[in-house]
Amino acid sequence: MFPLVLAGLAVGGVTLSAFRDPARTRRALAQAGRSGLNLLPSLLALTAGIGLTLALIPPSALARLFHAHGILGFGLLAGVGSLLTIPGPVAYPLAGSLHQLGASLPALATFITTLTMVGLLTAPLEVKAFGRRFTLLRQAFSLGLALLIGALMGVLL
Amino acid sequence: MKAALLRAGWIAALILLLHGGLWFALPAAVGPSARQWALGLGEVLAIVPSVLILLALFDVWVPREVIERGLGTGSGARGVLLALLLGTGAAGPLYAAFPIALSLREKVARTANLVIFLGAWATIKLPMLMMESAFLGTRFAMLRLALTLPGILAVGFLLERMNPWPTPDHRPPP
Repeated sequence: MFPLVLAGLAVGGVTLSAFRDPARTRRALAQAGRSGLNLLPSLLALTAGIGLTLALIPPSALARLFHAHGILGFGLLAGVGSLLTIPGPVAYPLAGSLHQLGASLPALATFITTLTMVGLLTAPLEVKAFGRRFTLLRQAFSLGLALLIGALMGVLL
Repeated sequence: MKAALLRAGWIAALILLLHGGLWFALPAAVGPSARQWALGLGEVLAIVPSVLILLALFDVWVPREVIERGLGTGSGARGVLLALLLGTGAAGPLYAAFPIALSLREKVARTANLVIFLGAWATIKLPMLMMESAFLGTRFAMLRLALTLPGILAVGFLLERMNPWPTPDHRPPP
């Protein structure tokens, strides 16, 4: 359903844009192609990694891990999310697979928010651009926000 | 461009090699693993191209300069809205936004707007919301948006209050 809606929107947008300004539309399509190509390696690795994990570890064992250790699973996801910074197109399929494996939705909300907003491994880049104090404050507040969102999702979902 | 294609090729080769090794160690796992890989890749490829096209269209039709001009100190609620809009612009991880944010900072954008732009770039792009709905459910995506949006605004204003650049030598290089 969603893939069709998105494809419809994209085709409609491109058609409309091409009528108004073909050159600009070509530029947009080239840009989309470039970002797609840049994402391709991580998407290949991600899907293969999930495939291997699912084939080697029985899903019931993974589900038990997430169920039996609710807090531990939450902490694990928040920790991994805070360490890495991953673009959305890679983060959402990963979160979707983890959900199918039994990870709780509140934990995944924290996971996605930290994954996209907090990144210890990319912090040096941020320090270089904005200084140490800015980076520390922004990442700390974002982590706090992510944990709060997870807790609130637990209450509201 | 060529480098990315080459990297994709290497990773695909590595994955095939891994499956080849698996053939000897655990033959029963090869089929399920490869099937799961194909399924997952299909699911992703059904969605990602549309998302990238929508993001790129947004980027070429909404001129960045117009938005950047409205982000200064006296910009108020309109500035916040523009910062959110600018953040939904292009695909890419957060660190891809740092150079843009730095150029904003040089054009004397408000600190709060700068932080809000980074937050919006990180988690609330509209096409991405549809992707989030596809993989985790519409209710999840909407609820997370409703919680994230005020959160990002709060982080922005709080950070501005705390003055992240107290002395000139803490400032980013001009």
